[in-house]
Amino acid sequence: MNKWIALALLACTFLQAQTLTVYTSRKEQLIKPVFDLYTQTTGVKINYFTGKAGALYQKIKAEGKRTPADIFMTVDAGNLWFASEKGVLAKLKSPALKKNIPEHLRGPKMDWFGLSMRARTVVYNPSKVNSDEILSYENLAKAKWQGKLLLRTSKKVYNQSLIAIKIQENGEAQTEAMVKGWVKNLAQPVYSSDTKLLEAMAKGAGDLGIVNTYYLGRLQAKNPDFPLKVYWPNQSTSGTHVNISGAGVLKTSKNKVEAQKFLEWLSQPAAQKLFAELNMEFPVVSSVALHPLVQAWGTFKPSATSLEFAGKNQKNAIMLMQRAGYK
Amino acid sequence: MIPKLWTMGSIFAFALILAPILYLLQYWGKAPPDIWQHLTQHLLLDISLNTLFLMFTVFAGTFVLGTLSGFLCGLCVFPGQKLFSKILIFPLAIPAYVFAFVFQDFFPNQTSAYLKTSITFILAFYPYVFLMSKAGFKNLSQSHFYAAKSLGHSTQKTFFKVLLPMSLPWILGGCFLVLMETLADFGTVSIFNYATFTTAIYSTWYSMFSLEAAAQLSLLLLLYVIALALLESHFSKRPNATSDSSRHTPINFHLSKTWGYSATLFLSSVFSMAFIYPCIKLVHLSLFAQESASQSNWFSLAGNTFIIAIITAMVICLLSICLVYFRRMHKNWISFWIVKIAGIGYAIPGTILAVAVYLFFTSTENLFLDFMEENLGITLPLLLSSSLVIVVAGLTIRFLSLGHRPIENALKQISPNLEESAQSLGHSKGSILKKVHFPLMLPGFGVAFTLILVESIKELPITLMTRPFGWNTFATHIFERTSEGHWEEAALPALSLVLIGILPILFLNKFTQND
Repeated sequence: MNKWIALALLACTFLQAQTLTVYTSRKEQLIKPVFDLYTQTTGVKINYFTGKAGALYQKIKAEGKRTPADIFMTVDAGNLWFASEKGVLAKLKSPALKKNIPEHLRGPKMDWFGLSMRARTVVYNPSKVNSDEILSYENLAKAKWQGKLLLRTSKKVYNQSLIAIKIQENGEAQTEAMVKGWVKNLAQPVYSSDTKLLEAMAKGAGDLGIVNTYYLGRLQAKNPDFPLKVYWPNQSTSGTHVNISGAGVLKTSKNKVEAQKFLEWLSQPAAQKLFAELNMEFPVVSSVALHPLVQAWGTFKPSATSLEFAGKNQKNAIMLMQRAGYK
Repeated sequence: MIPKLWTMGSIFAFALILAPILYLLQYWGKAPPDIWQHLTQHLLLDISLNTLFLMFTVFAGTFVLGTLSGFLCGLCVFPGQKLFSKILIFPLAIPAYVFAFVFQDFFPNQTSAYLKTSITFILAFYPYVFLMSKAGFKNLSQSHFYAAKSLGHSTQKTFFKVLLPMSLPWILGGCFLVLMETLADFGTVSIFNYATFTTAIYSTWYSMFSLEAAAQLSLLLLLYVIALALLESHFSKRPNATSDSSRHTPINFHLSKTWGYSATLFLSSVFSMAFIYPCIKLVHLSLFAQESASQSNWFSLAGNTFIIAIITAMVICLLSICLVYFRRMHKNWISFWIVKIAGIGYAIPGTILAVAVYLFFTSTENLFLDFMEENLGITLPLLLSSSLVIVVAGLTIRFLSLGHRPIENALKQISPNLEESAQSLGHSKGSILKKVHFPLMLPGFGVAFTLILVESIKELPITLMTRPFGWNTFATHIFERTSEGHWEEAALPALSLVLIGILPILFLNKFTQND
């Protein structure tokens, strides 16, 4: 009798191990093909639940030890840092992840990992701007750009991370002065999306702005003659700001081994290529070939400041931007 | 037996709504001091003023637009009147967040966020006022009009001194719904980048990682709501309506040719802006979509959307009956507050309500499961969150006041005389309900049921957070696409959502055409 129960339990665990559950704020259409590929290669089925990162974190917390989730996936480092801070994520002993993912793109406790890079850079209108004059994010605060700069709202996490990293690199006072300079230089009220900002710039609403590259990529894919160009700022100093799309395994997961295997698979070249290409982002593994459109923007030096600070300084970044009048 | 049922139902509704709010209340005073100080120093005044300005403008705009169109369709005769009184509520099928993404290219770049947001809200929400004011105007009888005329008042003066004040409770009822929607909205204000209470709530929660501060802000927002609810109940002491419909002859102003065609032109332009333009824009956007929509997926999305909406509508109708009878039988301050509080969920920002409901249910279930495990050795998984219970509970809390209102109005129209005469004929209370009240209240149920269908179909944040695994609806499908700026991919699901939202609206027309 007991033998049968033991066997049944074993069967249960075996069956369970064939399924992983992911809570993800990366959108369905940008992640499902990756899950499908994994299922094809390994037979492990992946359930996913999409939502906003803050809400997903609360869901994980409320469900406690009974949560069905194994993996928490987000589109910025801040939310992963926060989950790590709250002790929700499991520390992984994984030589593969350690080797494949650069140090500044993962949590120092080895509990979250960047899976693709998103560069937030300067895009400009070449008919109005001489690209040699752009230089750096800091330089955009100079009076010579008055009435020329376009920015997206400070409510978007991508800008919050940029400023949080700048606080780490330059200190609060200098960063606040920079943001005040940006606000003075605005050509238009801030936009609520990068796409709208780029479309407006193409129509001449401003000369240059700060956006995530993949938004430009999408517009260029639709219209090869789209008149704007990418500039990589801070190449002689700290490097261009990047954020990540990444994930961590939950402490409460009952399938930690399988979950870790999945993250390791995601850091392999084949998965890296698909993961990044779906949204025209940059793989975290440098040996992987880029989307041709992305490749055309040229190579750049990304900032090496640990993305942990994107989370750690995020609150201060928001307060700083609100003080500086950046809406 | 039956009166007890009403009381129990009402207390259940009251508890259902109060539980998550009390759950939020535990965060009061727990906001991190640095965040709270920053909020009060740099943000609170701004967002309070912004919210007030927005409410005032949207109130004024929907009042004028809704009352004027309601007046035209309810009291006047002009070319197209019948058609307009049906189609002018169609914009209700379009969620405000879809309005916003459709209208974002419409305004010139320099237009202020305040103006963009106000105009979008007025176009999206005026149908509530139209619907209510039309019902109010239709309820007026020629005798009111001729009585005033016989006292020597001009037609114009009669309108402003007699007809408008008599319909005011209905109109304000509609405006109240509009203001609650305005307070709770997040999608529109964030697309137009207009800072309000909700944007501050979201950014403290999602960006400054403090649910405590967000909950504290939400509770402040609830004060706005309670003030509004009290104002509304002050102004909407409805004159007890005429139930002797045998003598009810509705008013019909026959407009002159010039005025008649002006009315047609005016309402056509309102309808074009609020419905035709958004639909054309969605069709146009969807032409650029790259994703292919598969048929099986469409049916499963439509099915999921409808199932949640229908269950919610049934639950709300049942609870509303309990509430209105409870109030009718116990006219005291306790029942007043129980009913008022039961309706408060309508103005809580959806995400906050979602997290409060989810946290409340799941932690309660966890406590129960812990108890089972420790004392009885039974290990069970979380069941509530993999069922529709939490999502239906959340939507019920949010939309209860929407369903309660028309059912309450319907009951108010039944004069107590009717009950007495039925009683004197030897009918029991139960049989009076079945044979007298329910048939008379049927249109009220119809309105409540369909309104909730329309709203639940559109609802996003609660559905998004509390739905079971894999239970995608059109609204969540749209969210996936718009939140990464894939407007084109969102257009087709948005059109589908509007299409299936129109279905209940057609029924709504059936129930509100009392001619």
